[in-house]
Amino acid sequence: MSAQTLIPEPQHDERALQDFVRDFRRYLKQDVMPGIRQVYETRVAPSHERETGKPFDSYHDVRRAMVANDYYQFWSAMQRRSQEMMWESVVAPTERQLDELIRRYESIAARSPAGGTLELDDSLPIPRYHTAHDIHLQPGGYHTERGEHDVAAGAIYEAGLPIYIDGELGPDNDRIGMALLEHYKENFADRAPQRILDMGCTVGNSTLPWAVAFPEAEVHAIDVAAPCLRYAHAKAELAGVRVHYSQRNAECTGYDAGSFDLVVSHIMIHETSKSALGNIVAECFRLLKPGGVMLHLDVPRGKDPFGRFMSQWEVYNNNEVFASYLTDVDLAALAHKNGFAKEQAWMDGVPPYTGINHAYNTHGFKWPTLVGVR
Amino acid sequence: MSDERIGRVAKGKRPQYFHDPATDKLMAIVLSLVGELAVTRDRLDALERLLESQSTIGRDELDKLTFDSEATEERDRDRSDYIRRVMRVVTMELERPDADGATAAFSEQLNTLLRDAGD
Repeated sequence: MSAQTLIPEPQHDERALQDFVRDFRRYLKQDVMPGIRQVYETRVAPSHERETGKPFDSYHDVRRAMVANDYYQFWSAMQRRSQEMMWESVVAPTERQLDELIRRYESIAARSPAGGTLELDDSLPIPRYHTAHDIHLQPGGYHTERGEHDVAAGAIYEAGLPIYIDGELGPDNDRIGMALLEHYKENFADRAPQRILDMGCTVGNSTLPWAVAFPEAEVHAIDVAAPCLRYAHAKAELAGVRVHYSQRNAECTGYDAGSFDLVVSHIMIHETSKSALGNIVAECFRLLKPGGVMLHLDVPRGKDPFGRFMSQWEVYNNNEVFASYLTDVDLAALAHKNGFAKEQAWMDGVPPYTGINHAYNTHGFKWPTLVGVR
Repeated sequence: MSDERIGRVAKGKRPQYFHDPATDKLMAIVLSLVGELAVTRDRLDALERLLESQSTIGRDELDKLTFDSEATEERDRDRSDYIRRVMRVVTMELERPDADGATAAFSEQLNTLLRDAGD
């Protein structure tokens, strides 16, 4: 394993399996998936119109019709299996090298050369939206600990991500953070934040760009999952970037009111719950100084009944259960209900940092982002 | 079932994709086999490259090669792991962390999850 990384290093056959899964998913996306819209437009939708006399107006009806279609069934079953095999391909090398990974974490954490910190709270309850099912099918989810100083969940997540997204987040998996950072700089150019909070940071991939861009700022990042936070801390210290990680719930962080200039999250909110989301937005309002900015970037939920149906695939097949509710929620209205003035919270579309070729929308892709100003 | 420390199966009901659940399992096994063959092809390629750059190995040598007890144990364990990987889906129901609820109908359990997730 390289001295400059905590990513488990696969042996020949482990690497070959990872490469296979990545290439198989690429085939599904490029060769199989486009056919689904074709099947919908040429067979399923016309058949529905013939039978009911009107076009689909609900993605629930699209779903009921599509799950009976054999082309969709085959793609969906293969897509599901590819996700399972992806985790199998990264769990094996992580398991084999886990003792060494933990030793490396301990050694880096003891030195913390970049001056960052890690604060864990083993009394923090893990929310039900994490424990009820393993999000994205990652065995054990983000939070499961199997021993002292466990970093496995972080290592597995980090190793799986480039396979999941075919490397589109870049070599440092940081292009979502980079996209949101660019958006912030364009829209709030006059502000140099002194204190920044990243919620639901996982292994800190999207945290690091903020800390690099604002070296004078004090950057905090929180998550409920200790194994991911340990990994995040070691990763930041290895990168020479100072971040203060701590194990806290975004619904109720425990930080002082009015203590941050900027609160951000990156594809976190669809992994929470209905009541949690309201709590999180209210907590952001409480944490912000007057004039402070909140940014929650998330995954598109589709523009028409077919697009919304496809965006729901992860709900039914990849354990993103809460995302189903999110499809119909008005996030700006939620922000207004939880403290933000009418003209001070809205939805923006954040374009990709570079070359993101999202599975469901290849043209004009934008990350829907809730913006709030206190 | 094995000495896996981390586990390979996610908590949460596995959806059914085809009318006959056996088809779902066959699909999963076939895809595993496809993956394993991909690995073998890569390995063969690696072997060929090594041979090209280093030396030659006679087929006779390979045929007559014997293994000590440590190597035999390793090979047996690898083969056993291989079979488990390919057959994963057969035992998936039993390996799932929340297997106690496995008999609930899929739609019923998913509806419960959706209701809970949306409070």
